Amino acid sequence: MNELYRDRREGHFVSLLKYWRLVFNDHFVIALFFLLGALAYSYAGWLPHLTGGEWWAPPALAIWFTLVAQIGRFATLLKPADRIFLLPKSGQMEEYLRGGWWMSLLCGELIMVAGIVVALPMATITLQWHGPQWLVASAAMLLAEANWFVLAKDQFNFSSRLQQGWRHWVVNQWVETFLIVSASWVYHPFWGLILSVIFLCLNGWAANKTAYSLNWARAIGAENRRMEQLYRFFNLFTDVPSVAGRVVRRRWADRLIKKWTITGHPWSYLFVRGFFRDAEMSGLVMRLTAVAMVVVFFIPLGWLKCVLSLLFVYLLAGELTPFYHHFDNKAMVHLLPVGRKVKVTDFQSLCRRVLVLATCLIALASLGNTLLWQWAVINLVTGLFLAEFLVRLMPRRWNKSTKR
Amino acid sequence: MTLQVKNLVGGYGHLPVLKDVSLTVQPGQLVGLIGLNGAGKSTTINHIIGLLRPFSGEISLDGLTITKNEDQYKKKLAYVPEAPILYDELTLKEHLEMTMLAYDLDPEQTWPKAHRLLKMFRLDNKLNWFPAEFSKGMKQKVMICCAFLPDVKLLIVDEPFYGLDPLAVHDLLQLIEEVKKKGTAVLMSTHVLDTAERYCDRFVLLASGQVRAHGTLDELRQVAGQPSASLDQLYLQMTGDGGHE
Repeated sequence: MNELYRDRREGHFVSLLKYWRLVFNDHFVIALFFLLGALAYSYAGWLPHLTGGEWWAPPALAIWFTLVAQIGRFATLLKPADRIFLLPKSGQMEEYLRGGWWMSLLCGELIMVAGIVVALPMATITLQWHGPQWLVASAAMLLAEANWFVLAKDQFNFSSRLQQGWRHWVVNQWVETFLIVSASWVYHPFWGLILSVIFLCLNGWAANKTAYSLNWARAIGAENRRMEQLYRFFNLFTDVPSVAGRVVRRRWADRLIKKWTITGHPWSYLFVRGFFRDAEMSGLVMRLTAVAMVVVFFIPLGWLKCVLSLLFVYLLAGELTPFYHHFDNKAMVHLLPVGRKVKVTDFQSLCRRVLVLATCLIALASLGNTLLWQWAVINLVTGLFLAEFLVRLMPRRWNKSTKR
Repeated sequence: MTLQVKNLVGGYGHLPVLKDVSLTVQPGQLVGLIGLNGAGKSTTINHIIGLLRPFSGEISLDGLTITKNEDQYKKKLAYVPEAPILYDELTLKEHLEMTMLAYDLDPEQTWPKAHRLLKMFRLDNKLNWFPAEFSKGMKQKVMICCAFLPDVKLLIVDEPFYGLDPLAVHDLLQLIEEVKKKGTAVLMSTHVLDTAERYCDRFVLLASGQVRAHGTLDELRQVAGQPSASLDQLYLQMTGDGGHE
């Protein structure tokens, strides 16, 4: 079973590597570099303004670490066919899962370490720590993460006491983590450490007490969801064949859809509806706009706000461009008695509206808490110019991609 | 006694689909599990193979239960699912090797049997094919080959005829006859009633998660009071008054 897991892990890493190389392309690395740099710069600028004894700091840290602990996932690498082919090996599946559990725990702990590195500067200032408390608190956080993974493995055990419905383990994973982090950051890190050891011992003991009997349906379902989330993330940057487009009704957008549709233009009718109801496309544009708004809101420097606003408009246009081909594999659209020219102008009309709306929102957010209205106006004007330029450039990019 | 299901109440989550289901399958017997869509056939099978755990009741195979002897219990059964589920990354040959590994079969002794099965289902020249290259019927044939590879006490076949060509249906029924002669108990869920009538020794009629009737064709006829009725007619009569709930 160990060999089977090792084979799967290698295959999994090879496939992840293929996608990561596509994700970290030149454009994205530049954007990421700017984004992380801007966030670190703002964070560093914000720290000197903090004083000891800020009332909001302990609950904020408790929420932060509870959320960070939930990011990890137990990667079992199980496949749907396992429930047929490996059924006679059900009793040995715990041995198979052990490798995946340690690997997932390592990844989860690395995420937790990153969370600690981000939060510690703020924590030490606001909580006025001068001694080794941060070491104790960090140990408690790492143990809280380990406890989360003990519960994650236990949820796939038929014999577990946590099999009485999904609420049980979800509540345990959230509540136990919250109790540990609250004790650490609100009371004293020592209490957090004690609580994390107690939870870990109790859950570990309860898990070892019962024989492991794999709940195939639940374990395979969880692994499918994990892989789907991963592929959806990769799908933001490149085409992932296994990700099928998800359609969402979005009733709230009905009025906007009606308003943005050009009367008598079938391509406009299709593109506007396709854009709003394709969860990937509209979700991506909404998320990217929201991130842009948050980033430019917190950046204190006017010129940096402007550079980042333009960068986000560029990225949004870049994400919208391939949507032009969204309906190309539908035989019906090739029968439409409408020329390519109309298709191009209808698509440009949609992109123009989306980019104008996003630019306005980003410019509004760039006012920040200091209300730098001059920079907000500059961001709006330059953003609108860039949006128009990029929309006019789109047909050249489509021609380039078809020639390739 | 091979398979014994006693007073089984079970289902998905907290929703009971099966209500007090009891049935037995004796060695060398082919039992047809018959019922409308949603009657609980697949749920019953999922409980027997251990993908679901009963709310109450007991399932035993040769005296072994899944809660007490999981490994031994599962090694005694093989299963052909309704829809073929294969590994995208494995060839046909590797699927067979995987089955040998799972059932701890000696490859040298098992390959002649595997070749016979492959030849029977006209897959012997496709050993290096991947599932993506197979049609739905071919995938089902792969599942059948894998399920017939080990010598098990209980064979469960869930709606096996979908997607199979008439020749493959004939070959599958011939294989079932062979394993029956060796003493294997076979539980088959199907909607193809005329085939079931010809090949099954006994029947279990399920409706709304309950056993409406069970026994041989003659026993069912007696219960229904129609001495010359076909299984099709009996099925319609017995499920028609309560099967659509």
